[in-house]
Amino acid sequence: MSDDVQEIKKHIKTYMLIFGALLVLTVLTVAVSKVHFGAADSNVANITIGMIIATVKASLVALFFMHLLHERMEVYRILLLAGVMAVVLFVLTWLHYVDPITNRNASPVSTLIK
Amino acid sequence: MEIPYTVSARPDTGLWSAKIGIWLFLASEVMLFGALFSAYIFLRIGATEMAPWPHGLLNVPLGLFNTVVLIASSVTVVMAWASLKMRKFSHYRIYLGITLLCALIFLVVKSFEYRDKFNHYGVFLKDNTQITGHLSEPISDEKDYIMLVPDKHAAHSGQATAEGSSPHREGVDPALQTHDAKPAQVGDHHTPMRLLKADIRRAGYFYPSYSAYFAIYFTMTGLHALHVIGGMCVMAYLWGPGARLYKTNPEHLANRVEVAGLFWHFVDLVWIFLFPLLYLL
Repeated sequence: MSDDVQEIKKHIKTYMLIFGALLVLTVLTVAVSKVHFGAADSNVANITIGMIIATVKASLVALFFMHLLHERMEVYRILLLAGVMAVVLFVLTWLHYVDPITNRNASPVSTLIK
Repeated sequence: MEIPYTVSARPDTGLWSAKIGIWLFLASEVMLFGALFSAYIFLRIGATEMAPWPHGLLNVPLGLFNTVVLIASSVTVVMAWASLKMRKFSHYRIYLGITLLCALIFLVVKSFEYRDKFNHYGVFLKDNTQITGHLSEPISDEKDYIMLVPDKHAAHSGQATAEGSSPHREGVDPALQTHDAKPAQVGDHHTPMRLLKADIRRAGYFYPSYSAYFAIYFTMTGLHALHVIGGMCVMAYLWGPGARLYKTNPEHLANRVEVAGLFWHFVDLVWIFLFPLLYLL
């Protein structure tokens, strides 16, 4: 049990560092959202930057607080499956969104179908 | 009957069972929130010039405070687990208690935000402009007008905005610049404006039915809040009656707390994405 205790103590230092990093990134998220990046009439750059920062924060929580950095392959496989299924869900919705048969405004092809 | 593999590893998976179980459950939660995030994306893509995606309707300082509170609660729950692994029971109780307190603070702040929204009124006029504010008197069926105290033009009182310099980010109330037919003072956030009902296309409080933005906001934060409550119930059990397990099998209790903590981190993760998407961007 004692070397477990030493291990855990090292982890605690890491948790505090990650907490500090998360706080900094959170303030950064708000600060960056107040500056406008990219083209004058487009939000895309701001959204991209915001999502990148959010992904970094989420990765810190997942890798360190959820112990994913040193987890077993079985857990990684479950998460990979979840990731693939989430992407599939999104692509299916997007396909419906751009499908010219059900959505007449979807693409130039729809101008041929009167 | 004893639950098997609560502490020892199952031969085929190499892990104690609850760990596989919670990750499978979190995978299903990814589907649930992923579907809602997809809905958010498509609703937002569908916004047009005539019906722009609004900005500045939510209170950023409150959202920021809630984000910090939830991140802190993630730290305290992992500290509670670490304390159990080091067999420091009183520390465990303290850290888990702080986690529960943070969760409660989050919910209380959220309830204030919701109540603030429910008291906020918005009017879509027939010329496609929108005015938001608060009703100065209840709507009367006998009168042909409503009295609305409009929000300040560039920022709602009490709310910080994330407005950049882009001209398209003024989805909130361009009406205050273009309206010239109304006799009341415009832009003065204490004087009520008189709006004729005949000029109003649609109006209402900021309920989920008010706009697609509020529909997705209330749905996602509401579902998230339900998850917070669920996590609180589990953690309250592990803090209270469930903590008795420490006497007979402390490693089992540590594993239970780890599993509850994994769920709690997921709840925090969802909020980390919700905050910028709904409040800032």
